Amino acid sequence: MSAVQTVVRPRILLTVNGIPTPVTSYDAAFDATSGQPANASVTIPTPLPAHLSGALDEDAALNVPIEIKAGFEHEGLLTRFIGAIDKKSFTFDVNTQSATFTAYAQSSRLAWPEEVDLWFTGPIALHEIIRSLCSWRGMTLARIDDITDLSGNPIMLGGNPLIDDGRVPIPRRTSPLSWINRKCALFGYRAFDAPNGEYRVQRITGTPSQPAAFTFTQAVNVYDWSWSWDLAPMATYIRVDGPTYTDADGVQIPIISFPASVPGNPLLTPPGYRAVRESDKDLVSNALADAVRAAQEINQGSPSQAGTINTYGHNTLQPGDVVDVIAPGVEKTGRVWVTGLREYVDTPGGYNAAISCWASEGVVLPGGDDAEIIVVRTAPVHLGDETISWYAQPAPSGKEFVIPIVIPDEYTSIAISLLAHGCNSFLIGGANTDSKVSKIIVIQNGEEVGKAELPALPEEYEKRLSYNNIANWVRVRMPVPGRIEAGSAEIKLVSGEDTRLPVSTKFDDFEARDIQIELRGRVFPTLPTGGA
Amino acid sequence: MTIHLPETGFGTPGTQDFSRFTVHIQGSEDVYPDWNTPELVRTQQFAGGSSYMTQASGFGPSTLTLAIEFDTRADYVRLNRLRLAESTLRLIAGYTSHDGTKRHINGQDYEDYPNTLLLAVSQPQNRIGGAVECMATFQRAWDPRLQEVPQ
Repeated sequence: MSAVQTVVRPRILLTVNGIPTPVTSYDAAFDATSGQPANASVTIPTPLPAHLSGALDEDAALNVPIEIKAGFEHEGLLTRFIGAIDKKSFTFDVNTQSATFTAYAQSSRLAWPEEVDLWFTGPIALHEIIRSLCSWRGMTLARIDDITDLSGNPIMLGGNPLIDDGRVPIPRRTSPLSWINRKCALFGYRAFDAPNGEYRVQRITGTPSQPAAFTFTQAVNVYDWSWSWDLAPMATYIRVDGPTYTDADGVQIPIISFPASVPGNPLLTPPGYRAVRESDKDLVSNALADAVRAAQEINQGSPSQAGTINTYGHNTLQPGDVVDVIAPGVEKTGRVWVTGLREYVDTPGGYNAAISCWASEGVVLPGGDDAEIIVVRTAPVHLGDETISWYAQPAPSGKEFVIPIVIPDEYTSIAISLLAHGCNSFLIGGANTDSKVSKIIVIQNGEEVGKAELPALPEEYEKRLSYNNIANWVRVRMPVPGRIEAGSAEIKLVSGEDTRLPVSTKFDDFEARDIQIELRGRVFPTLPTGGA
Repeated sequence: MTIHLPETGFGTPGTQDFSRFTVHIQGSEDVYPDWNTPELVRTQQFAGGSSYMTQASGFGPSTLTLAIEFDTRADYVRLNRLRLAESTLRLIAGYTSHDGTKRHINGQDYEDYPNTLLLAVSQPQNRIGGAVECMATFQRAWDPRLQEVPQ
């Protein structure tokens, strides 16, 4: 490879409140992964110019806008920081007097929390919430990409009427900045200040496929670099939990996403996998939980690889850009994300940068299903004490119907679902009259552990509806009452007796069919065995 | 060798604050000391190869150190009072590489260098009869790339 000499002339322009200001040095840091506002430190030669001097006003220069442009003479200057001065520091010793100003970029406007809850009516796209927050906090330069799952469907929060009335809350004393950072990271996005002054939200997931903005090549344009691979953050069995809510039938519905099967990985042997859990109460649907799991499986499913490139300043580079690295010296060649940027200018050092990079190579795994449906009986069963010709089963089978079941080790809710008609309904005095005598009873180890009334479904006795027509049946779904331990149990449908009726017809006649038991919350992916 | 010209000195020309002195030429009679203008550069190698980048930020302060003599102690005191102050350095024309403002005074050409800082005065030596010799270092900002080519 031939030797190349490149001579450049660094230039920097600092304006404070729009006024060009001499500067000795500047140092700015941008980080797309921490979510913290970007910051810049500028050292200004003394004596200070009038617009920065605090001789008359000690607060002079605080909360004042600054802009830094930097670059090389041949390519022109570009904006590399926009912010407001948050801190000024003067030192005075035997030899020197100096002044340093520290400024923060505009995402600092999202940092302070509100003292009241913020509510957004759902369903609402996550990116619309972020845009709204930016506008509300007066951020003029914000570029928020549409936030989608890996299939391109927008991430919609809220909209489940059974959770927070379908609304999306940002609780009081929660920093909007931390809320945004948390939500974006779940779905593989990052929110950060960019050197050109924008507040950016974009996807930074996996290994980028889009064209690279720049190529860094060993011995060509990199002073030095380092690269690392780390197993510690790696995870291959990711479970995502949303809230558990009660549906309209009173059944507890946990929102869970997990892989159906976890392939063994020799890098994690033993045991061949590593499990982590993510949870967030705003994941109000399985689709949202699945979207989070997919993003995290890509981001965490391989050794975490990160690098730092020390090079001269590149005044078009931003976090979120894609770069190619050709670095045999650190055994890395490939396309990666720029996740951080530190730029600094001083004399005689010039304009230089330390660029942080990252990529991952995880894969999305097919999802598992936490719900198990046990079909108990499809044929109708008639409970009661009366032969009724228009019933699907005119003669009653008895006054109880027992459903034996084996309860698995892990579940969070059990529900019974059936088609029925006529339960807890009697014709008394010519009118359909509700009752509460027919029940579901749960028995385990010979003891009753729970019971609940069946709903009242009008008998419609005088109409003599044909119950061979399934349209005349009603879907009943309700939680199985009581706390059931793992193991064998019995669920009984019981026809009760109403003392208002004659002895010959005092038991409640009703039919049930298509009886199913729904188990939820069972998370049992197939895990690797034997440590690999 | 000493160059005696009545108007060389430092201060505000034409005022009581102007300190007149003469310049000793030390060493070869044909060599007049010149301004020293350091380059502000940093070269960084690209690891793994022979290529590198040199960032040339510009030039540091130009300094000129002269051996000077004062006919009277009063002139030496006037110079001392201007230590660490910016004023005008007046030298014989054409003897340094900097472009000064040309003056023709009493049949002699001079060059004025305004905005010059008297950075240091050292090694004062008092002679019997009132003369004083010392070393004086002057500093000013100057970009050699903007220099006009002499005709």
